[in-house]
Amino acid sequence: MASQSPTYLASKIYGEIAYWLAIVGVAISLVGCIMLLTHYPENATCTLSALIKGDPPREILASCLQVTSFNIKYVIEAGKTIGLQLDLIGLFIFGLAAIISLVIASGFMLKDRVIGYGIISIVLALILILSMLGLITVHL
Amino acid sequence: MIDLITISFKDLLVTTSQILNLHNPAVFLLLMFLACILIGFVAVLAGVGGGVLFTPLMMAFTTVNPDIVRATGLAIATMSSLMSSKTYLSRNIANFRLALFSAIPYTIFAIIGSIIGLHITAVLGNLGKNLIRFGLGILVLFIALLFVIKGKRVEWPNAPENKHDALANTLGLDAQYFEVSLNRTVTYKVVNTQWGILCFVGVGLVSGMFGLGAGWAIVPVYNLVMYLPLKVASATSLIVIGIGDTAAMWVYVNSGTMIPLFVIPCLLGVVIGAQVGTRVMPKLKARIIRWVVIAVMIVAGLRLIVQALPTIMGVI
Repeated sequence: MASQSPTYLASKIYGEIAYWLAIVGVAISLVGCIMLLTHYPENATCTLSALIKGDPPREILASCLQVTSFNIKYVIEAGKTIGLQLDLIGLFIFGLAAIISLVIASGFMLKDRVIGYGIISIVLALILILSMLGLITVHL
Repeated sequence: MIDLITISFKDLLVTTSQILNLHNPAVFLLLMFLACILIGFVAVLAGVGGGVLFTPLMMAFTTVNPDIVRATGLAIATMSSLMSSKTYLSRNIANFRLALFSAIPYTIFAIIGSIIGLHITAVLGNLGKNLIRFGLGILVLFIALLFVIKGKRVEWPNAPENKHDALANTLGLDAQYFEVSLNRTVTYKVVNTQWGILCFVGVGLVSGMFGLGAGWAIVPVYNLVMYLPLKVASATSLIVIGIGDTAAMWVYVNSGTMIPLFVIPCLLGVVIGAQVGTRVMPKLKARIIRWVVIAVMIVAGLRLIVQALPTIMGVI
C-alpha cells in the first residue's frame, strides 16, 4: 500500500463529515418541501405558477411565501410556515457541510503539525463563512 | 433547424402539461424529479457532472428564471461533489493538499463570478439575462468540443524529467496512491503549479457566473497542465468543486435566488440518477450515450445563442 500522507486522516474526516452533513441537510429540506406541499398547497401552487411564468426569485418569495428576506433567522423569528423553516434549516446545514468539514480537518492538520495546510483550510473556511454571512452578496 | 426543434419541443411541453395537469404542484415536481434523475443518470454515463447538463438544459428549454436555474445548478454541483469525494478521500486517491491549494483561487473567483453574474441580470434586466444565455451557449458548445477531443487525456501522464516545480516541492504537492488495476503504488509529481492556479482563476469565475460544476475544466487542467494521473485529477477536482461552489452557492442563497421547492427535487433527482448510472455503467454502451449527450449539449448551446441574439443585436 502507498504510505499515507500526514494529511490523510484530516482528508478522510473532511470527506465523511461533508458527506453526512450534505445528506442530513437535503433530507431535512425534503421533509420541509413535503410539508409545504401537503399542508400549504396554495403556497406551493403559487410558487410553481410563478416559476413556470419565469418570475424573478424575490417576487416569488414575497408573493407566494411572504418572505421578504431570505435569511434563516428572519424566517424562524417571523414564524413562517414550518415547511419553509425546515426547508431553510436543511439548506443551511447543506451549505455548512464544507465549512464545518474544513474547520474540523484544519484542527486535525494543526494537531498533526501540518501547519501550512491547517492554515489554508482555515482561510478557506473563513472565505466560505464570509460568503455565508451575506457579507458578500448582491441585492437584486 | 434549431428553431424547428425548439418549436416542436415547446408544443410537446404544452401538450404534455395539458395532459398531465402540470399546474398541479405535485405533478410538476414529480416530472421535474424524473427529468433530473434522467439528467443525473445520463451525465454519469457520459462522464460529466449533473450541473453541466442541468443548467444549460433548464435555461434553454424552460421558462424558469435564469438566476434560479444557476443557483440550483450550483447546488447540484456542490451536492454531487460532496457525496462523491468521500470515497476518493478514504481510498487516498484524491490529492487533498493540492485540492486545498487549488481551492483558494477557485473559491475566490467563483464568488466573484457569481456576483458578476447576478449583477448582470440585476442591472441589465432582460439584456443581462440574454447576455448570460449567450455566454452560456458559447461555453456549452466549447464544453461539447472538449468532450469530442476527450481522447487526448492521458491516463498516466509523465512530467518531463527536466521539469522541476519549486512551488510544488515547497508545498509538498507530489504524492502517491495505490492503483488497484496495476496492483502497485503509483507515484506522481506535480508541475506547472503557477499555470494551474492561473487556470483555476478563470474556471472559478465561469463556474460561479454560469452556475455550472467545473469538472469539465478542472480535470484537463490537472491532467494535461499539471500532469496528474487521470483518476487523481478527477478525484481531486471533486473536492475543489465541493468547496468553491459552496461559496458561490451562498452568494445565490443570500440573494434570494434559491427556491427550495425547486432545488430539492432537482438535487435529489440528479443525485439518485447519478447513483443508478454509476451502478449500471459497466452494463451499458456508454460511448453511444456520450455522443447523445454531446448532441444534446450542442442543441442546447445553439438554442441559448438563438434565444439571446435578437435582444443583444437589438441593443447593439
